[in-house]
Amino acid sequence: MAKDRSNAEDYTAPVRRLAVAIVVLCLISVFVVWRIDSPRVERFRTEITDRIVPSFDWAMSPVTATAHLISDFRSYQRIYDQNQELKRELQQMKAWKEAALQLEQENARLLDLNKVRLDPKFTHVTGVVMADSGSPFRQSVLLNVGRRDGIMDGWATMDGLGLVGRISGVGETTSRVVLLTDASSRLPITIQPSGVRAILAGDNTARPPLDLIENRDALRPGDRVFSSGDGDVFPAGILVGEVIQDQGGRLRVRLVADYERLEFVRVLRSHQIEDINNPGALIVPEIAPGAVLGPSPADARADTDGASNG
Amino acid sequence: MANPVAQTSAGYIWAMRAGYIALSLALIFTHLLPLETAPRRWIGPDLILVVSFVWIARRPDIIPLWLVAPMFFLGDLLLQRPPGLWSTCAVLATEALRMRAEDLRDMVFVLEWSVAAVILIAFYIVYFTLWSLLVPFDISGSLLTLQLVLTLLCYPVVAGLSWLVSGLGKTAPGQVDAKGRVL
Repeated sequence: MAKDRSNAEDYTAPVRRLAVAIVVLCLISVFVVWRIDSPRVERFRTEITDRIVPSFDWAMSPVTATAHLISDFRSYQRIYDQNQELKRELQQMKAWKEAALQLEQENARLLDLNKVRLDPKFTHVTGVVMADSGSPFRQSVLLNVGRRDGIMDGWATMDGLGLVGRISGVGETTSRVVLLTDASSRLPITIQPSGVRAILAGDNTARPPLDLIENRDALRPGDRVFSSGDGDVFPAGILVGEVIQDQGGRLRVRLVADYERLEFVRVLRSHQIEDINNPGALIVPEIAPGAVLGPSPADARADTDGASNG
Repeated sequence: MANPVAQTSAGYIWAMRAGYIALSLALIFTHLLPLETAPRRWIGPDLILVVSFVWIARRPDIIPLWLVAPMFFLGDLLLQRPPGLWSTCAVLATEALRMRAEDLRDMVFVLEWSVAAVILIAFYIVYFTLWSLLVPFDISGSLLTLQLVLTLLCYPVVAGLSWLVSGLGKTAPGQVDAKGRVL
C-alpha cells in the first residue's frame, strides 16, 4: 500500500529518530555505568526507592493485610486437621522440652565454668517488610528501617528462626534485604556436626544448593547449616537450615526461616564487618602479595593452607 | 473491533496519557506487594508492556516516547531489574511497533497481533541474550519464556478491554486531530 505521508511528517521523522537514539543511548549508558560501578547506581536506585515506596505505604499496608486476612481465612477451613496435627506435635515437643531444659542447665553450668560471655554483637533492630523485589527473577524485600535507625550495609537479617539474608542498599527510611534465595546471594557456611565449609549459592529456588563443598563425603542429609563468618562479611554461627539431597543427588539447604511469609525481620547489628566501597578490592585486595590479608584467624589459616608465601 | 471514529480531542489524549501513567504505577505497586516472598515457579504476563504495545499499535500519538521511556526506567529501578536493560529493549520494541502503526491500521486484528508478537519475541530474545552475556547473575529462561507466552496471550484481552473501557481504537486513514493534522 502506498503511504500518504504528509509534509509535516517528513520534517518530524528525522527528529523522532534522533530523539529515539538519544533516549536509547542514555538508557544503555545507565546500564553500562551500572555494570562498571554498580554500588553507585544501586545507591541511586536505593534513594529512588526510598522516596517512592514509602509514599505508597498508605495503600500497600491495607492491601497486604487484606490479602493475608483472606489467606488466613482459607486456613480456618483446615482448622480441625491443623488442631490434630498440633496436638501430635505438642506431644513430641513436651519430650523435647524436657531434654532442652536439662541441656540448658548443663550448658549454663559449663558456661559458668568456662567464664564465657555471650557475643554482645548480637543486638538487633526489628523491621517490617514493606515490599518485595517486585519480580520473580530477584529475591529481596524492603524493610521500613533505614539509615535513621542506624542500619548499615552488610548486616545479617533473620526472622527469629534462621538467617534470611543480608542488607544491601540502605536508604534514609528503608533498606533492602537480599534474600539467601536470590541468584546473586553467596554465603559462606559451616555444616555441623562435620564442620565442613561450603558456600550457599542462591539460584532463585526455594532450596538453594551448596557450592564449593570442602568434603562432600562427610555430609549427610539432615546436617545443620550455620553461617561461618568467613571473609568477615557476616557474623558466624547463625542457623541457616539443614542439608537435603534433591532428586539429582545435588546437596541443597532447606532454610529454617519462614520464607513463605516474611513479615517481621530482625537486623543484627555487627560492627566488625568489612566496609565494601570498592567492588574490585573484594576480588583482588589492594595489598602487596605476600602480606597477611586480615586479622581474622580464618583468613590467616586460608593463607597458610593455600600458598607457600605465608 | 476497531472503532470507526477514533476520539481525537486533546482532552481525550491527555486523559489517556494520565491513565497510562496511573495504570503503570498501579501495576508496579501490585508487583511490590510483599504477598509472596518465597521464590515462585510461576509468573504473570508483563501487563505494562502489553498495555504499551496495544496502545501504541492503535494510537501511536497518545503514548509518545517521552512517556514510555521514563515509565519503563522507573520500573527498572523499583522492580530490581538491571537499570536500563529492560527499558532499552522496551523503547526499541515500542518504536519498532510505532513505525509500523500506520500499516497496522489497515490490517485485520490477527495480523496486527502477529506483528506485535514478532516484535515481542524479538524483544525477549534480545533481553535474554544481553542479560546472559552482561549481567553477572543468571536469569531463569523458563520463567522468561512463560512470561513471553502469557504476555502474547494477553494482547487481545488488553486490546478488547481498552476498547470497551476507554474507546481506544485505530484511527481511520485520513482522520485528523483537533488541530487538523493527519494522524
